[in-house]
Amino acid sequence: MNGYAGKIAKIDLSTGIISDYLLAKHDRELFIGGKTLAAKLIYDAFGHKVEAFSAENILVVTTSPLTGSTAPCSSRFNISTISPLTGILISSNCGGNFGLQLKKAGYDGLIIGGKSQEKVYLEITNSVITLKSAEHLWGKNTSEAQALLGDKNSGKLVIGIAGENLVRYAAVISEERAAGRGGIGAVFGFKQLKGIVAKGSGTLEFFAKEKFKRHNLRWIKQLKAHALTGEQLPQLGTAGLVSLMNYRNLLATKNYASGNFEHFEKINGETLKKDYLVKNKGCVTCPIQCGRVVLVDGKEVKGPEVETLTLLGSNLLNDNLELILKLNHLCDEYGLDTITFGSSLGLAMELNEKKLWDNGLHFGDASGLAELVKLVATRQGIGNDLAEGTRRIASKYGGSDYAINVKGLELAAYEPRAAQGMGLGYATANRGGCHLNGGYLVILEGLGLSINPKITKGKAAYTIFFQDLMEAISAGGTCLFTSYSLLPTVALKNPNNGLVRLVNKLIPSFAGIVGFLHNNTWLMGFNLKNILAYPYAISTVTGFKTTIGSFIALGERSYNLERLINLRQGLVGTDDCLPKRLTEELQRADDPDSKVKLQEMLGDYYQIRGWDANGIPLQKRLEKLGLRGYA
Amino acid sequence: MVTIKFFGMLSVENALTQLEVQVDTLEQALEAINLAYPNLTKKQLAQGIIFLNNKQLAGGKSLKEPLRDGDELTFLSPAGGG
Repeated sequence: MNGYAGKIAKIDLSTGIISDYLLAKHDRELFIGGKTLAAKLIYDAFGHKVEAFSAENILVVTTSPLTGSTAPCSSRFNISTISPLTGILISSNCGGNFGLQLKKAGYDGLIIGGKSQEKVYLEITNSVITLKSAEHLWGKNTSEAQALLGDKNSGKLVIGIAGENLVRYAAVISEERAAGRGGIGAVFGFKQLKGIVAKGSGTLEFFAKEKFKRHNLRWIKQLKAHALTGEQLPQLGTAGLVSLMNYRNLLATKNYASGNFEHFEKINGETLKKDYLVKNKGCVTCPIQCGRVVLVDGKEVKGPEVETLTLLGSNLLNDNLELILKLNHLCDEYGLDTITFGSSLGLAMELNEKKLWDNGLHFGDASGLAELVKLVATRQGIGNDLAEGTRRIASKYGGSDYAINVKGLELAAYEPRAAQGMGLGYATANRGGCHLNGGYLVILEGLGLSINPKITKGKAAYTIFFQDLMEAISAGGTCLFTSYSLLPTVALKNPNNGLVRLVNKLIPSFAGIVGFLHNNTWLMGFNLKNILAYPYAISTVTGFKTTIGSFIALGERSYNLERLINLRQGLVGTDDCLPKRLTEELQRADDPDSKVKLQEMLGDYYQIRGWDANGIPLQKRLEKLGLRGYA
Repeated sequence: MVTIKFFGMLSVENALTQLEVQVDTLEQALEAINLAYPNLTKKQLAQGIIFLNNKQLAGGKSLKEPLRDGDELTFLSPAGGG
């Protein structure tokens, strides 16, 4: 089957029954793969609200048509489930080699339900799926467990001790990469599933292999020549963002009380490269190689991303880079999301400062943080409260105005009071406070392009466009970082050039056109393969008639379907909000624009999305997206 | 003296983190950098991301921006990630 292994397995951990799940050809073309296909499978699995920690909840692991195609950064996989942190849909996308091996083993996806009576792991080899005892793996950290699961060529994903103990932000780790957000690891732990190992010798069939190969070579060349994907990310990793974020007032600092950290130079990408970098590392088929290898206690381990440097650095007023590297490694070993861990620590420190929770944690005092990772993972002492995430900590001790989460998911490193569009993205993202699912408009608001970050005009249309674009890219199976090459290098490097300044100034005025095109994707029923590489790549691999228009419509379909699942889980329109610190407190006292003016953007956002005033998708829009009958 | 800092790819590609120069305007600062690092042209620097004491400088007029003793001038590169 062109672009697909052709099979999805359904595994019931309660009974041990393994069967094939039949996916209609029409649905494969409509939902493609990755998080979008996962949303379809989750939508169909339940007709009602489901508790995260229940046998009824399912884990859906999916690959995509570009997985295994050698397209850039395409060895990824997605896991979706109902999150124990947020209570709504969570999807987490991960690099490494598991996605590639799962597909080679003969599967496009896995639907894992039920709850095992024994501790188990899944072994998948060339279409044979076996449930095996994980007694010998339980209690092991993620590197040990993976080492015990087979040779280096197998694709593996495991949980750590945090997942076993149902920490609400436990991650799933594959090699050193993490499906980190929203506590998917805890759902594994609840189901007594330690991990999955996959290996196979299958090969991918192409609809038009020679056309794909020519396109792919051009695409890789384009990524390697770009200022971000060919220069900054390989040279500095995402850590290369820290300095610019600090100057742009975007660097979350002291539990998001500020956007600047006095000692940012001690934790930035330049210092990481100079003092700790051993080499770059990347996933299979990745020409970008954004991963860092650093030394921790004399051992080569994965280096931190910007999120970790910020949430465990500036957010805690911690300038000890060596300690951040160690904390990052420990979180990977215990299987913890560094973002929610760091945000929970930030809130705990502020609650202690305000005498609302006597927990012994202080901003600027990093002593004891390494030990705290274990306490959280094993739910001991204050670790038991910290293991719950910021929303539940605030419910117990107070401080909901500065518990920095949206819908229960902690915000990423970008302080949105210095980027209005990013604020809207966080507030509306289906995952909760996620920068990427939120559309990552900050890339236009000062990190890449230089659109005025203070204005709200036009931000709704662009946020929607980028949310849907990210969604479609993810469904196709490539890393979201590939999307940065859409921004012209000349505009990135020359913001003070007169013409570039004019374009940056005019971009918000084009929002009406962007919104119109978004709602009339049939006008884009063609491909510009040198500009937007994805639809043509999917088309040549699968044979589907994928165009720019259908690609954006795919993203919109996905965003709406995820929204429907969340509404079924109890989400209401008023949940599209931000913590009061970000909407009511000025980031800088001398700048009246330094707060997120969410209400100025939310109405436009709903209107362009075709949602009613309560944020519920209208039937007309759902029908247009091929979602007739979904509600 | 004016302190000039470099971050991002500008710093990596030129193995350059900081300079101290005695100048009176931004234009003079660009000339001083170009003199020490010929790869960094005045035009390239002027069209990039520039901050003076944490405030962004924008537009052609900024070349005449006066610099004073103790000022901190910063040159940054665009960045993306997640």
